[in-house]
Amino acid sequence: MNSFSIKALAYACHAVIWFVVIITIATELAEPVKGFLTGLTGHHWTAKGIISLVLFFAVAFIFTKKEDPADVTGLVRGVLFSAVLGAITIFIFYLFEYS
Amino acid sequence: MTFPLIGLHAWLGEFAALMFVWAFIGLYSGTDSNIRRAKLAAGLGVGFLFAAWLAGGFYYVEFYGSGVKPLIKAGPFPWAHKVVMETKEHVFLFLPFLGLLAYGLMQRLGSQMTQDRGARVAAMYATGSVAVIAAGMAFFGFLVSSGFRAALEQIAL
Repeated sequence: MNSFSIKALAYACHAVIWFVVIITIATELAEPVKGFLTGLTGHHWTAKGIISLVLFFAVAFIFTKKEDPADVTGLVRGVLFSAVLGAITIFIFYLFEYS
Repeated sequence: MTFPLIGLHAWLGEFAALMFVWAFIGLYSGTDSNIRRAKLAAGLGVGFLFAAWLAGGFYYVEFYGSGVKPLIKAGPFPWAHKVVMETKEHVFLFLPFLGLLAYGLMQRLGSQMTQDRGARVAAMYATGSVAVIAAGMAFFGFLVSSGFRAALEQIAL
């Protein structure tokens, strides 16, 4: 993990979080998307996990040469903001689906 | 044989949360030896998160969908699956990557964290958030189990 810059890891986290949010909503709203993911690995959730893993390391690798700022707190706060917003988006989506 | 697997998933997830709490406390104190231990704890925490992902994922794909989900949906608390489990299974996917960010950040900053309070605070944000989200997942797991238990009680009584 030492070879990746903190900026690269933060960008990779953003990419995974928003990929998960978008693909989660897409699989619920569009059956062909769910079918496509299921066709890849046998279960749509497994496919989401494997794609997330590949996406994380791909984005981290692409941005690995990005130089880190002197204070990395903003980068971490940004990722936390994404994670909280992403989690709330998923929760509210399923709440609306249920109601 | 499904119960040991879900127990293993919960145990691994809770230990991951504990490792990140340990890392957070180590960072808070800020001494060289505590930061070294915090890095070790974060590394172990990442390992536990990936192991929890494998154990929980196998259980979810092989047993939950066919044996548990239909019962919860037909039981008195269908929201335990339709809202709570659906949210949990997707938000969980954030966790191993947030763990990797926390661990990678601590490896990268290294001894800088002993002198630079800002660097330490960044690492505390990262480790603290993993601990809090992992604890949230445990609470969601409790709600799903409660939904399943309520469904079984409805059948039995």
